[in-house]
Amino acid sequence: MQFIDPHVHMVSRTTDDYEAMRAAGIVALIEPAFWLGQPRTAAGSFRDYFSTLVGWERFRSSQFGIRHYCTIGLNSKEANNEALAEEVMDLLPLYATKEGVVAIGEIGYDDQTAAEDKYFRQQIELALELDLPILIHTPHRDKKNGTYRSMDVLEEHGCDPTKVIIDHCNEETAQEVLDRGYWTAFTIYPGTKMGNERMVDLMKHYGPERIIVDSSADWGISDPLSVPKTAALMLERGISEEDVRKVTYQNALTAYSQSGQMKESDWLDAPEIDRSQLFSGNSVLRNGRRTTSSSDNIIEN
Amino acid sequence: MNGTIHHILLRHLSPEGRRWLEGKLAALETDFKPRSFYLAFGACPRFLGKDELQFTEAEYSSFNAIYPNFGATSWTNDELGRILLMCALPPSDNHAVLEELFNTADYRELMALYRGLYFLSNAGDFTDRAREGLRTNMVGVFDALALDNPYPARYLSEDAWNQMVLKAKFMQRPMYRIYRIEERKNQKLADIFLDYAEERWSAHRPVSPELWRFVAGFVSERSLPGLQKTFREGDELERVAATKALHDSNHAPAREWLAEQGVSTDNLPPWNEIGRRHERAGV
Repeated sequence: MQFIDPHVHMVSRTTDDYEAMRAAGIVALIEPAFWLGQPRTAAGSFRDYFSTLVGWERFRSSQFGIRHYCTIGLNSKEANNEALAEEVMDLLPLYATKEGVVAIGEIGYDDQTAAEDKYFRQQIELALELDLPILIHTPHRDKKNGTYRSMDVLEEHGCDPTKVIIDHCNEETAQEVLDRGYWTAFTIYPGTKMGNERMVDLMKHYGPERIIVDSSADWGISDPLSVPKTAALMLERGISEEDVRKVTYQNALTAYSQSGQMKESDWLDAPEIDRSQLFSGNSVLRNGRRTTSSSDNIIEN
Repeated sequence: MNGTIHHILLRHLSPEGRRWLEGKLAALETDFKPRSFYLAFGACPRFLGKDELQFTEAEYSSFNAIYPNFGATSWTNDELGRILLMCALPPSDNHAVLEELFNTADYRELMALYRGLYFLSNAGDFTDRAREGLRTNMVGVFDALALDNPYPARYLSEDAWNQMVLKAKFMQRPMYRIYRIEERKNQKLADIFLDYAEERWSAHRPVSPELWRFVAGFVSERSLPGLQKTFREGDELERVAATKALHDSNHAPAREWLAEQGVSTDNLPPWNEIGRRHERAGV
């Protein structure tokens, strides 16, 4: 089967992860802009991070045969540094229209402060102006209120729920999110958010419509193979292949292709020019695979 | 504004694409704002499409007159649209405005920017930027600047040029596609490539036959043993390359040694052909 991991932070992952993901059937992934585990102190750090998402990481991923897309946004944690947030807001229009940017995100609430609320709303307006989908990060603490409040604010701004993905849902929030018409995403994150056993139960309960599974793998303990592993467990527990395909591939594609920046043909028939640019002439794959020597690694050039 | 691109590109765009681009160009001319330039530049694929352009012979001649080697590769709608927008920037401001864009550009934008530099009326102001571009490890971006592009041959200093050629080798790029690769060969580059060949032999790794192109014309007492080794031990293409380097040499001992080997030097292929064969072999 082919899979899409619609939420994974590849800047924190190794080439071993890329190889394992490709071997497990992941053909495309989405890397939402988020924080880096510690707060940035300068707008230039955001600029370089955004450039990495639309440039180097996109290229790196393509070397492993995986199409890379991203979302651009100011995350809620760092929205609390208002002086910096103002500068980052000025950067966003420069990146939001780049190739492969499929949404504004991940945005929403962390502590639910006034500053978070202010930049959340400004970014909703930016997404509406550019006609881009929105990826919502729901908070870990006070999750239920944070999730409901996010949807209230989106509705206040007149957002169409079919263009919004609400991520990190759980058993407590899923029903309301589905009822209000949003794409409902679950992060399979070992130990913390959702385990894949729980996901199978949720699938049995809610069915496959508007449900999306992702890994959110990042710099913490997490599993970039969450999506294919969960699919395997679902199949083993008797969920139909068609339904598994919806939650691990098709729904994410349908939701994010509304950006006009992501389509199935991107990976099904990659243009010849890309293949020659990215694969046949590439020394990471070639020497990495054919010999044990590392002296031709492209990173050394 | 570049009259040639403007004139020819518009013929190939859809009526909607043409209207959109004309509107953006007019706005830049009457009321120049960096923000509108950045947004228009970013939006080119969306409004102009990414199709490969098919030019007539006459159109190619017009392009070749202002951009040597223009016909060596294909160009797309969005790419030439972006380049036309670049050329529409006031030259007094274009360095600062484009630097900002280079620093925030995505992969495809970078390729258009680097391929477009040569068209700028003050292209010579961008040599630092070109050197920065050559430091990339993104193959498509490197190729946009290094391969088939007339910019490096005309504007790069010898040291910058040599670094580009070496990096092309390290990235396993087809070096015969570097524009004016033959004319800009130099002693320093020949010496560096010879060091590189020796490094490869020490590591028991193959030495590209294309490498001898850079030694050819600079064969000396020092490089002769390496060429002899390649002649004796190399595969067919390596032997051809070594033969050619020895044959083209002004170093008398090299030519005398080759004559003693009793091999034919008729019909030796051109260096570009050796490069193409090497590329096809996929090594």
